[in-house]
Amino acid sequence: MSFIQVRDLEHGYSAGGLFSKRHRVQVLSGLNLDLHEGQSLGLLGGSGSGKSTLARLLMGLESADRGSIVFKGQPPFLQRVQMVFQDALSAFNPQRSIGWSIAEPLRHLSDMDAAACRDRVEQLLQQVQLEARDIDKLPAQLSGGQLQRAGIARAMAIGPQLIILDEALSNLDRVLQVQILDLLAQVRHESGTGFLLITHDLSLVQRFCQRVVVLAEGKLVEDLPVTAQMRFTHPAARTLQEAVLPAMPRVRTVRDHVDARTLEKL
Amino acid sequence: MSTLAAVYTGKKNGARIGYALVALLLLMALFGPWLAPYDATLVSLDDRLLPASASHWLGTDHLGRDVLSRLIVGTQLSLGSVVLVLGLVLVLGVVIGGIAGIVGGKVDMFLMRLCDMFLTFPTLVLAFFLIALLGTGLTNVIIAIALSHWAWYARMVRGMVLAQRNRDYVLASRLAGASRLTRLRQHVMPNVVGQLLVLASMDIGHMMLHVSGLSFLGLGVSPPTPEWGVMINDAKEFIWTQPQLLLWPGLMIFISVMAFNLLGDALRDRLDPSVLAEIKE
Repeated sequence: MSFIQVRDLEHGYSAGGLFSKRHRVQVLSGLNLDLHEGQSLGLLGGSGSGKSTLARLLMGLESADRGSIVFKGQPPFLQRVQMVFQDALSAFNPQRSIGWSIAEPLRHLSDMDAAACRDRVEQLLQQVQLEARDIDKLPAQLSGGQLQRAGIARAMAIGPQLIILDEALSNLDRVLQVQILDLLAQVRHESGTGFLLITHDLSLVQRFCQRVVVLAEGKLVEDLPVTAQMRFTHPAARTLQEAVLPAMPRVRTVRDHVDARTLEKL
Repeated sequence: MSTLAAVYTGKKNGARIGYALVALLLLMALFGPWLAPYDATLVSLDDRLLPASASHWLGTDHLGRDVLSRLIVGTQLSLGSVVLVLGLVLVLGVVIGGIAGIVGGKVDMFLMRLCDMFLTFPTLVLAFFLIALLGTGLTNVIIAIALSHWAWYARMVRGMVLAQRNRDYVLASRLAGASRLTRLRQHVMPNVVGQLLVLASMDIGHMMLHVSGLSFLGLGVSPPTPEWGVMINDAKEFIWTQPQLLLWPGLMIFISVMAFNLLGDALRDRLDPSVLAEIKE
């Protein structure tokens, strides 16, 4: 059953200012999307295709110009959706400990007392494979990969129904990306949390998601189940698919550099 | 010892010197009248312009007053007025800059244009103008200096608030259900105040020079009250015969400015989380 229904969503921003005429930039137009419970959905799209705008609307940080977003019959609110940010270091207050930051949703959105919060944070740290002693460390004392795990722990803290990963893996190397995706897959398996993986890297989607949608010029242009042989048909989606590097580089021959007609002449 | 470790040892020593000097100055400011060997305003024409000796360690001035006593007692006014100026500037800056940054829109526009008006004039010229309006005297000098400096701070605070407000961790806090006020209190302000304290402690020296400068010109503290700027003013007639009378209060100003700059450096290392993490490791 779909627990998020997005219908005819339209959203835009006004641009321009002192030296140019003010005009409206339409980011999303007529977007329809159904998200199923516990599903991990990959949202692909080039720069400026409206991925982050869609994420902000889903989190309830902005309200759409037109159309509706419904969570099981209700409008979106924060407790149900959490987010993992792209830049892990700037997603944590530099003056507060990791434990304090992870416990933040618990303090505001649950009625746990301090001791219960700490227990929960320790449990979360263990779940994302961080050590219990990291709880009192400052963000600058952890590595990028560790911080991203801490970010995931914070997103998981109140048990949201959907976690949005907004390019959350883009700054990490391949090994860390795979480790974190496996961790997330485990979380999804255990808690039934849904995931929206926003990225421009198709290989991450292929590893983690069950379904993939492609956003281009504010519209969904592809909606496919993820399989090894899936092929996109829309040109913008094809470009993204072709941008994925092969697992092993191919040995180049002379034929790769010289086109066929030149070879015939020789 | 590695270069990095040497830098940290150097920094630590600098910080220690800064803390020690500021502590000493505070001690002199708080207990000056009790620490001073003589009454700082006692005129004794028989003892005029005595050189340094066992009874008068730094000699006496043109009215026979003990220079050391005047230096010690003068700390209170010299430092106290600067602290007052700084307090006023910080309050004005944080309130006006904070409101501009948080509320934004037309309020921001209005407050920033107001700042621009104050920033158009050189601080000293503006201070003179304000003193001409308010009249001379220490209180008016303090108000004038505060009014000619707050706009810099308001601008800085506004910039810091704007920068902090759009940081990911503030957004994360919003997603975690924190109210606007909580976000401001727990995330925006602590990071602004940390940076601001560092800037302010570096600026103490600058303001001290301002207060002393205005007192030197006879606009602030009036004789016979001991204050370093006034002492320099009193001594200027004897610059060729008794240069040490100018040297001692000048040295006090120099030491205070340096002490607060060292303190500012130390505070920056304390409050900048990235430096903190490196030192901890």
